[in-house]
Amino acid sequence: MTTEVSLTRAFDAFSRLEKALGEVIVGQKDVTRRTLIALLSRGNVLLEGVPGLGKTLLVRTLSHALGLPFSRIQFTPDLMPTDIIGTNIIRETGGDRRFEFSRGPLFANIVLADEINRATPKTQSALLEAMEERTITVAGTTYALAEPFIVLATQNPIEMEGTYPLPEAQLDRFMLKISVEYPSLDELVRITTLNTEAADIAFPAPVATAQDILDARSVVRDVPIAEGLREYVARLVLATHPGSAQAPAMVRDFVQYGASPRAAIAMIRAAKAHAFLCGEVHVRPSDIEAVFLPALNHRMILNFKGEAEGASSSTILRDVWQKVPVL
Amino acid sequence: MHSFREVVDALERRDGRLRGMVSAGWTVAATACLAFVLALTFTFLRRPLPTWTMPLLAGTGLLAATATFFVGAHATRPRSRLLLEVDIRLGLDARLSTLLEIEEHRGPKVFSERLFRDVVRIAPEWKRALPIPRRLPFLAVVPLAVVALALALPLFSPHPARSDALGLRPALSAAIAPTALDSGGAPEARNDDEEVTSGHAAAGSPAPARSAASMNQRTLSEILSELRPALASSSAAWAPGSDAATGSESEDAGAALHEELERLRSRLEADGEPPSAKEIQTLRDAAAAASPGLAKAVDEAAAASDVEALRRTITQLLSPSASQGAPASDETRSDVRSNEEPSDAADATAGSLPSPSTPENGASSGASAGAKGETSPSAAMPNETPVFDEAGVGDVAPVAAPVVLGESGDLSSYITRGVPVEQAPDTTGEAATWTLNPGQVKSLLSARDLPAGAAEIIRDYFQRITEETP
Repeated sequence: MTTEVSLTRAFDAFSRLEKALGEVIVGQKDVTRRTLIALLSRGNVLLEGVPGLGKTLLVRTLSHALGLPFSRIQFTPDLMPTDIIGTNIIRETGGDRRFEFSRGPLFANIVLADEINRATPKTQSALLEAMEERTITVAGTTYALAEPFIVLATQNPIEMEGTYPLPEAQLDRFMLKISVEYPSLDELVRITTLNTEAADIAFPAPVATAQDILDARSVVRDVPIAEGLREYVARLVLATHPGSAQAPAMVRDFVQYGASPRAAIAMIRAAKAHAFLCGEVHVRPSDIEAVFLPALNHRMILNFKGEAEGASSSTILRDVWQKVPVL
Repeated sequence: MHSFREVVDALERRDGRLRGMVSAGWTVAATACLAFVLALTFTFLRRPLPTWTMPLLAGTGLLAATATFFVGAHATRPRSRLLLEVDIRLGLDARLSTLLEIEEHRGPKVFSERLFRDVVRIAPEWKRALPIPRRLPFLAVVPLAVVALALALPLFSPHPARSDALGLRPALSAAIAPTALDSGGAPEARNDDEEVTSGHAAAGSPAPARSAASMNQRTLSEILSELRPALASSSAAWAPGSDAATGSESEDAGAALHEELERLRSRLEADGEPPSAKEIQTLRDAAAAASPGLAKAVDEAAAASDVEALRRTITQLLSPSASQGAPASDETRSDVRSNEEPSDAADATAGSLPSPSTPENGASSGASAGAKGETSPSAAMPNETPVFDEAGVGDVAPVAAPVVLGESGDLSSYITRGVPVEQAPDTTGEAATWTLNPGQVKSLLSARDLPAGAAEIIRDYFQRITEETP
């Protein structure tokens, strides 16, 4: 049960963490906050943006700030599942040979799956269990991943040649899809200054521990949400389905499949985390609004008409947001 | 937290009352609309709305509103939605509804304490957070507007039942209604047939000895002139529908008579055979309606079996001047109004019959019919023309509308009901004849505190309109 002390400690820990990230990552405050939201609500993040926007830097900074093991996996078409989850190898010790599990890079607290859409679906799907169950099963043996565990995958939206778009099942495992936008002029100037004058990037010292993260997650789980807002979230998710009575015309015209129930869960968890990061102790409609697009954007599957007319998920979701009232 | 629960309970009760009021408002609005539709329907049917209708509707509406109030007030509504609505109204960012959530699910106290502090800080008046719903004033206005419309509807109604609303009644009650009430005994109990008979009475009563010398026509004209403004304004208000009805029936009767006379003339011209007794009677009635002189001529020609004279009389009756009857009547009225050249105006109507309806004269006769009720008696008096001549039998017939004496009815009905006549015992229906009842006249006059000379004038008036009708 959350107490005043645990609440204050969690607040302090994440305030420090957010500040530490902000010292390295220039701009991208939304990206930083949403990453922390995913971390707080036990989710995974799909970062989408062109190369060179600091996606990898963000993940590395996070791992430094938390003092947690970090692994980076560069996804390529020839990457095999065993390359990321590990495999059993024969080890000979004192004349005795036996299989021993060699852990892959997935056994870390913070995993960066760089350009995830370049690997084959077989390899991509190797992440599924780890992302959802926080376990890895190899040769009938299940290994639990250390908490906190978070996968931050990146993908390039413009280089689609030779890529394997993520299957819907795997997309649904990502709690949030965060679009990394290009920095502004001032931010770009600061980035160049930081990266050309200093000898190396000064990553922050750990400002929070794994236990702080777990405690904060416990606090965030306790953050209350009103019954009416739960209904609101459910109505929003239902409105993304073309067969739903609440669906606006744009959804009926351009959407083939709407968001899953997992999306509603993700929205509420993310909204709680957002409220917590804002210093609130309850979920507000504005918290739901803040996570609405990142939580649902990658869960919408457009139909042929939608694709042909160039409709985007974000446009459709904005329409849904406008058409579904809180009450 | 206990106080929070108490306040939530209070909010819930207040919300229940408001929803009950809204439900009751809808019920009242529906009842008012029903009343309006009823009033509208009866207006278009030109029938008076039964007097018990509105009280019954009001009572039923009141009961239904009370019932719906309690139903609406006790209809369950999720507390979470109620508090979320309050949150939105007060900009509390779902704090109240979250507090409820914490309380119902025994959430961490640390959250609820902070939330409650925030609620008190942001919206100190949150306990009175439920304003009157926007639609409630609207629901209060709608019934009022509809009821006002329903009440105002008779002002535009062609039915004369609301003549009192038009300011007609005071003038009538001063000069006519008392007489009518006295003569009628229990006028409210009269049925339509009696009213029709009353109308025929004026037209069909035998002419007693005429005492023109004793008639003070000028004074009578003055009395009627006093009524005229009220009559004019009232006829302007409810003339159109009334005109349509009265004029139409009058035209029908005139057309039928016209046709009958045409047929009789054709037959006389064709075979020269004397007309039958019935035909002579018809001819005589038509002539009497036009002019006593013509009636006398018909009598003489019939007695002498002079077919040619009868044919000439018919031709005279059917002469084009007949079609001038309606305009002549208007002229007569204007003459009477100014009390100048009365005999000229009378000449214009004498010797003519209501012509068959044509688009042109139909309209004019309709207009005149609308004014007939108000002008017939007065138009006749200064011209020494039968009071009901210009209206004729057909003019009285429309009085058959279901009216209540003293409160409603065409003006002619007021006047004809006031005529103290009695039906000859051996006559019925169309052949009914009527005679002045001197005893009733005396009773009428003695029952009222009339100014000096007025009793004589009224007596003369009754006598005159009785003797002038054939």
